[in-house]
Amino acid sequence: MGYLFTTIARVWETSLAAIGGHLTLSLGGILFLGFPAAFWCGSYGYAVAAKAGASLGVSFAVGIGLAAIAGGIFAFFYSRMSNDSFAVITLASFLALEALIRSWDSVTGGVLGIAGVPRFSFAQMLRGLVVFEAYVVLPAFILESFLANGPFGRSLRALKENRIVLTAMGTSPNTIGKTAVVFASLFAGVSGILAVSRVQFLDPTLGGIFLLTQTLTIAIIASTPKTLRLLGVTVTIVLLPELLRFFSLPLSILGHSRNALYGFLLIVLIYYATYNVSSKRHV
Amino acid sequence: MSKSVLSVENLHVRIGQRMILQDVSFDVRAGEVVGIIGPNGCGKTTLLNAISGFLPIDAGTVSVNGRDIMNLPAHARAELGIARGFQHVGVFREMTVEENLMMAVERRELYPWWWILSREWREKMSVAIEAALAEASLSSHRKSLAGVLSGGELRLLELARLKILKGNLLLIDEPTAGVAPILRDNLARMIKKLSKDHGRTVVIIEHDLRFLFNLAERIIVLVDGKKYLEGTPETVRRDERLQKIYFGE
Repeated sequence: MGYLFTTIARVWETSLAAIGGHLTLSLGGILFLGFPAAFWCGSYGYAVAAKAGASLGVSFAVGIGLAAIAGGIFAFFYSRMSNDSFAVITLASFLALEALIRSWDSVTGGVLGIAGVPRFSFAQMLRGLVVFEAYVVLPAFILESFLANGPFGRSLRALKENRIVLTAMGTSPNTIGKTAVVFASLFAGVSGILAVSRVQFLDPTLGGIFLLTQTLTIAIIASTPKTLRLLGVTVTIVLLPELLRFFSLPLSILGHSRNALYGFLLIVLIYYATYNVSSKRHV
Repeated sequence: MSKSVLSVENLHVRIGQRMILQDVSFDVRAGEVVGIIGPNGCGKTTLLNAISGFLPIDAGTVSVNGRDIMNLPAHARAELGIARGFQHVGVFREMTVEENLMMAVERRELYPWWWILSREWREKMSVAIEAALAEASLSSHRKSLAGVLSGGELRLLELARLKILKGNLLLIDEPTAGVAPILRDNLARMIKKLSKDHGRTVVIIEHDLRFLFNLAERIIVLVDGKKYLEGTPETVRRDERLQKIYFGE
């Protein structure tokens, strides 16, 4: 049962980051790659505050607060630069934050990480945590559906297609884009808090490039404003490596082979997803 | 005499090292349809871009409804009442026809964020969209992707959306480009209706002089970035230099 609950919890946590990717990349075409940075702001904010003796409610708020600050900084950069420069800046922020985490031993525990991060009392058991995460993630999906299919979602899609025409309709593309970036950072931050409270141990290998790859893959494949599709794609992408467990690979290369195979499958999925979209456009 | 809706004074616009517009001045009165013509590269689209805030102005002033709009960004100018149609059709092709119109209704009415949850708001939205679709003869395409519409239908959709937007000044760039002759009458009818029935002031750039002369009350001619002539369609039609520019020796 532990394996099942862990997998469900991972789906919930990845879903939150994926919602951010869906709003920014899928709908708005915003090349936001700061998910790992926002994820770490949430997870380290929560873990450091909790280990320092703050109540878990306060620690949760610290994590969200740091993710919001990260979102605000990203939003500032978004309004000042082109989309491709923004991609580089947000990617660089992830690398810079990783370097900071690895070297700031007294606060982040450096490469050794932070052990024994506490969980909420009502989520001490894995099952309780999964239920708690569901209470967080399901409203997040409802909010996402509301945003994606409402005026904000339409403005985001308009931003992706033609920002000049969107501007000519009286909507500020910067405001729309900045709002999406802040939402994405907040969702990634909450994802980080939930992930660290499940694992109860935090080092820079939690999140990072793997989270970024998964989030972007989901965002590319779930390119429509349909929230159920987003959930379906998230489940598929998270469960895909689990399916590889059923292949008998040599033990000595098991981990690497699964990673390589997973990477290959993601490429195939992205290829077919984008091929279908572009072929429809040609028609 | 009705009040001036758009006032352009001594407008200079430079792109890079090249001066595109030099000392252009004109006024457009409320409810008037004004056409802008001139050879390719004379600065017609640049003029509309400068008025709507998509290009910085080197010198001069632009006022809309008596208010200096020089320091306003493009989206704020649109909020103030400038609605803009584009040379390559300002329609979101990856959205449905209905969604294109919904965006305009949302902007005009400043719908509250919870409108999709409210039956009353949804009904208001539906009525507004049905009326716009009927006027543009696009009712059968309501759920179609805008990208599958023909060039003429895209123009009609753009005009339907411009009509919904609250602006009292419409800047339309080459509405007949890529439009079959049979649909041009529909376009002309819609533009006339916008002016006569809805009191909108319209500035149109157009290369089809017959279309424009039937529609506009006044024509401004730009040549090499300067205002060369301004007058009624009849005055402009009789100008020899313009005849040479458009119809050759």
